[in-house]
Amino acid sequence: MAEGSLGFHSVNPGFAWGRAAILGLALFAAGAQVILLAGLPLPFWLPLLLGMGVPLGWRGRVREGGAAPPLLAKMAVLLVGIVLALMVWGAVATLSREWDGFVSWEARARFFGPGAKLSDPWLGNSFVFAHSRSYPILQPLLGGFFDAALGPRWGRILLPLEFLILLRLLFEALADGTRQKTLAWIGTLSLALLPGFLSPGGGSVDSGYAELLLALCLLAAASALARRDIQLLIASTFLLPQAKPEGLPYLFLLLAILAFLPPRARPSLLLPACLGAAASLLLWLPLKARLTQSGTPFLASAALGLVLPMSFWGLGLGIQAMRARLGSQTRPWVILLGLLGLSLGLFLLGKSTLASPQQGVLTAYLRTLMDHGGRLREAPSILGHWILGLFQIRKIGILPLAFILVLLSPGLRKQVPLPLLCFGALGLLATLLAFFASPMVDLAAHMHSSLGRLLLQWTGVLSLIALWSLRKAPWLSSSPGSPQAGRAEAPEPSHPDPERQDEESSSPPRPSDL
Amino acid sequence: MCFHRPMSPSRSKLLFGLFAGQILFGLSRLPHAVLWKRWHRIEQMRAKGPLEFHLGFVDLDTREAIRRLREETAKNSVILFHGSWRGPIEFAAPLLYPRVLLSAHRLPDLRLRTFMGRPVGRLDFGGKKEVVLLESTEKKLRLLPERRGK
Repeated sequence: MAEGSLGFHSVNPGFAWGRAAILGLALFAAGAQVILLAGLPLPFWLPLLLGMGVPLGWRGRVREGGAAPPLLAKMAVLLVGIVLALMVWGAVATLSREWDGFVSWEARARFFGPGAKLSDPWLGNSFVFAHSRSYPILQPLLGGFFDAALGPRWGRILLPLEFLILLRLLFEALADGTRQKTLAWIGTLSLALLPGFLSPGGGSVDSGYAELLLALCLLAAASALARRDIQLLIASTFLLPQAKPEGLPYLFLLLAILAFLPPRARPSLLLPACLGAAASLLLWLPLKARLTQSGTPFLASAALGLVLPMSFWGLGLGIQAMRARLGSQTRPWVILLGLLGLSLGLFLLGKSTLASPQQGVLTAYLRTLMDHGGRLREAPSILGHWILGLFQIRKIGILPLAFILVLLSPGLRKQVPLPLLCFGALGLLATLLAFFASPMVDLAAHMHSSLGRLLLQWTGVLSLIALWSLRKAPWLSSSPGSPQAGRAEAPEPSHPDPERQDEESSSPPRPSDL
Repeated sequence: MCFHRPMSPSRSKLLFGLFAGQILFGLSRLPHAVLWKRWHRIEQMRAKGPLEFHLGFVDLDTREAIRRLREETAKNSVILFHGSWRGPIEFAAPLLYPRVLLSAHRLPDLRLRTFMGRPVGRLDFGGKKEVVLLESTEKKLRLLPERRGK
């Protein structure tokens, strides 16, 4: 079969290995940080933890559904293969050819290979020059171990490998969630050919930037929300702050969405998400304090790492109790009041804790908000640049346009689980709001250099939402390539939004065959 | 939100069409934007080497400073630096690896031959071997003898 030729189904038909890779990544990141915090050198066997995702995720399956037209599947495999071959060539031909890839992400990979420990000059001494000292270390950790095993050039094969996992994860989410292989292949192909990932420049697959890794973590979180996959949700909320600094606000966004949605729209999702986030910050914040030598005591940063995410769980319980008192109907002012309270709480917390001078890039954004009240005066310019940025077809294709079309079409919108829809919409909005706190003097230059990359991080999520909305398109279901046979063999997945279950099948919730 | 409106075939087909368009657009960019431009960049970097490729935008003295440090100091040495943490110094750090760039004021005594278990970087200035200081601004790098007010 064509699908087998790229290894998509070669090990075990239906084995969700993209999902297993995310679980392995989370284990690897957790193990490395525990060892570093214990003051021990990173052992050579650490990558074995990546493989632990396989037994952990073995039960995760991509169920058989409507098959894609054979020509589409064959073409897709061929094109994805060509694209991957191009990216492997681009990655291993030289060291990074892009600014941040060369000076930051790849340079830091040299510090985090086997044997690295916190007492090394680059890691333990903030007077030694090390670029982006406060940045998350997952990509440098992976790079360090790949470099140690394969050499600095062939070690860069990590980058196309991350791209392959991104494509596979989207394929799995769409094939399993929509039961339409046609949609899964279309999504995989459109993401595989996205100009922002392929054209040379910052953010492309072989640039060495961590945009790809963050896009992977965001897609994993979105996939977990869509399929109510608890295991994947814990892993992805763990990974979000480990990929890039902006992963932390995105994580809080996800937790806020789950806290504010009524429990019937996000059953059993809030607590696992908070636990994954707490585990991540419990490790990362103390480690970051050590790397930046901010002077924050271990216990203080660990406590912050625990309290911040778990406060969203408390918030969720509080809102639930308030709803019970006020009636089942969600009142807009309750949400508004909660959002204001949450913003104020985070603002005060940020002011007192995160905003110490050594804390890094997020601090700079917070300080702009605190000292200057943000850049509200430049709102028209920011908005104008952002709207233009949404239509950068040469970077992010038609994805924002497709997403807006879904938002404006009730028939399409209702197909998408509410937490996923909110995650995409607010994530897109976050790429706008970030610039109101921009610490850069030249705002236009900042937007020009960063907006495209911020939007690129959300392309997997936007692809998933837009194609998920087509899962019940009548012309698609009745096409010869997507017979109903698969549906007869396996029960229809319950609609992830129980609010809408009455109009659809009522089979029990299925957290992705876990 | 309205949950009872049926899916509009025209909108769903439009959405599907957008994805088909994106695939075709992506395909059309493969030969030039993806393959040719990448090949050109790779050839440039291979021909020039990482130093000239990444620091082509700065003055010759900056590149010469990095080249001299690479050629005339031990690979594991500590190089003192002073000034901006932005600009060409960002490239200097990976280009000089595994040498360590250390804020100059952290070296307690200029007479020390080693620090942090590594030799302190020295260069020949006017026939005399002295501790070298890499002075960094956002635009350039310069090599000076570190004399601490002398």
